[in-house]
Amino acid sequence: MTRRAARVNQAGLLAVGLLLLAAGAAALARGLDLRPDLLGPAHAPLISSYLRQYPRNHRWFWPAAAGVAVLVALLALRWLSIQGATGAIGRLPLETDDRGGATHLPARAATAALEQDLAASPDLPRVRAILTGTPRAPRLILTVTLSASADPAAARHRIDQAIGRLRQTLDTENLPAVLHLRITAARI
Amino acid sequence: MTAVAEAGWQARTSGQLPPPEERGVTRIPDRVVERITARAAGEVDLASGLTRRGVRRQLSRAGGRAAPTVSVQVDGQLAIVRLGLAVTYPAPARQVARQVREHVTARVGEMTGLRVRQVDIEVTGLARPSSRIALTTVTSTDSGQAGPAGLLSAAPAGDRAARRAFRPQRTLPAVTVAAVLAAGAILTAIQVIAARTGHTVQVLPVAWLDHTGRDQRWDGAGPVAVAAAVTALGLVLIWRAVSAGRSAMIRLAAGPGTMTAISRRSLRRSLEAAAIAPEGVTGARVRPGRHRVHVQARTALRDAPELQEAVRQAVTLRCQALGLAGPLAIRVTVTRSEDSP
Repeated sequence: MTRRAARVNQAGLLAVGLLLLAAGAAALARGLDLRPDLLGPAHAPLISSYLRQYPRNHRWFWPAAAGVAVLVALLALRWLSIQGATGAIGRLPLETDDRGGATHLPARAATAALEQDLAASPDLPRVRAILTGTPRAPRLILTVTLSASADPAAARHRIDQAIGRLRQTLDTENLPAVLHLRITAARI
Repeated sequence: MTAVAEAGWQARTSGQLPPPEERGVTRIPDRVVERITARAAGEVDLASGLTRRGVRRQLSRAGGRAAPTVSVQVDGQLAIVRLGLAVTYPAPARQVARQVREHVTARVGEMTGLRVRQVDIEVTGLARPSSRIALTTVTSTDSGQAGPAGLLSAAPAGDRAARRAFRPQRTLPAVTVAAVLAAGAILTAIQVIAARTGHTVQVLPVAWLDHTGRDQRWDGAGPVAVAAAVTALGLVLIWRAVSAGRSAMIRLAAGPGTMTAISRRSLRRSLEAAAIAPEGVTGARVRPGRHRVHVQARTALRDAPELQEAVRQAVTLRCQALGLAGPLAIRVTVTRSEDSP
């Protein structure tokens, strides 16, 4: 999940919510006969004869309706598709001065090393690491699942040490890390 | 392409030989340069061709000796090298790569006379250290970020990075709305386009809509109810978009440069596991509230006044171990579970 997806979700929900609120409130106001001067009479069919004739008198109506439907469908599918995005970056450039040759490290290799490092502990059954951000300024997102019986202080110490080793390998003091701690249900 | 090399030892023997231009040339095949490069790269500490996946492939190809993958491009006296190699974890990869680059440049230069201008290195993997090289632990530079956060409060107001990191995602409502929107729009598009092109497709209940639109009136019970429902749904979505939500992650004391958070549910599981640890406690329910933790412990013992303190201590210790900062307000009630008949 990326920050972009979070922003899009918020904006999308707000937009759809406002549309529904506007349409629902208008229909409600008409049904309750609050503003007959503006919205029309309450005791009238949902689709008036004028509305019924409208597409027949305006040739552009159905093509436009089809176009709007296709556009909305594409936008909604795009909205769905970004939900699965992790924002993971592909390759990290390690060499700042690449005139004598560049050095690259696949981000997957770095996260795999960290995962293997932590997986050695029996108290940490599941570890998932992702590098996001930009290749020049990566950020680490680490999700660690801990059994409920394990000592969280020891586990967190181990995790801090492991992150330190990854920072050492990437040769950066400044790899911001976000750790999500999860606890599995206790075995009965 | 093969390299034309002027061997370095010619100076020593120049006395007995005709002038250089009459002596002919020494051609070094690219394959040889590649071998020299691979050998040179393998000589650097902490660099190898030994990735776990690479091992088998390398062994079968090199006849038992693991080596980095190499390609060399030679043009006249100039060589461009591409290297794929593994670096032992957790050695600093950039420094190891620099050593490899320098060593390869020097070795290829002295053995073939080629000038290596560029060594591009792809670190194909970070290999687990062999048993003799232990994982060295770096000294943690504690930047003192473990400041006191409120007990179960979300990120403090000023901490922008943390707020962004633990921002609510709203995935479930977003996926639901997007899926409904997509389905509705696709069906509408199919219906409209099919009708325009003279096909008879019924993916939407057109006849029913037509019928309802004519017979139902705006002030009818059905339309008013639907309008009210749509209005309510709109309000719910707006509220979901605007409010931060209670399910925000709870921040824990941070390690150096690390922001840590735990979900409310995980916190509850961890504290419950701690609360049932004292002998005599048969079950526990924990409700982490905004300002304090309420622990309900059950016991089969009729008279056990010490249990309350024992549970409080266990939960307090677990809170500290998790790194829940701030003053802890823990309320413990011990109830006696009914004797089974």
